[in-house]
Amino acid sequence: MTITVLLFASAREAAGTGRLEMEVAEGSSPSSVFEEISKRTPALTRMRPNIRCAIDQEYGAWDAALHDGAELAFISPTAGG
Amino acid sequence: MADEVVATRRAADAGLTRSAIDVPGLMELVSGRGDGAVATFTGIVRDNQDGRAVRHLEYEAHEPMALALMERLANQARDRFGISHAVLRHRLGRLEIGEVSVAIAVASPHRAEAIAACQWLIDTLKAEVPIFKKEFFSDGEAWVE
Repeated sequence: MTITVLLFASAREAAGTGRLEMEVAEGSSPSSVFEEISKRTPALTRMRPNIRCAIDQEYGAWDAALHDGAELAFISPTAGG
Repeated sequence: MADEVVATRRAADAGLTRSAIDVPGLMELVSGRGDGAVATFTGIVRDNQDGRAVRHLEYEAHEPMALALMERLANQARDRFGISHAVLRHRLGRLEIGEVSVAIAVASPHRAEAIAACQWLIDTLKAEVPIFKKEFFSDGEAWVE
């Protein structure tokens, strides 16, 4: 299935892109997708404890099941204001 | 100055903008004839971070998610505090020292609810809304994370 991954702030800069279209296996979770992109961008690994995930623009669990067409956003620490 | 909101949701309770935020305009927008109080919070760009000189800032956001969450916060503030109305605006892009980065205006019949809701809104916005800030110093740059 195909998902869209969004990255922001330092994670976006580390990965060199804010948006990835990815083909992932059925049963993939935010956790497994993050692991996958961390293989290409090892610097992401140390950011993981401070990142939240959002599926279709709602904060969600790292072990949630992704669906085909999902938007998976990795939300770096927020600093609005 | 025009508050050129790049994207808004219904009733413009929430907005993200790349141009100056019109705070007096927000106060006018938020209040109705039954309101006796408007509380506002205005965040401005400071010239230092813990003493280190800041040249300018840049904000980015997960824009649709930020907008949806900000609108939800405005609605939740009504339910939690019994206020009449709340509006929230946040700047994106490059901001210079002294510019308004965020503005919240809350109207209610009496002051206590408006002040409490305003405090809750800015605290919750900072913690939950996916907006990201990068500080540019004379000798480097860093995301606030």
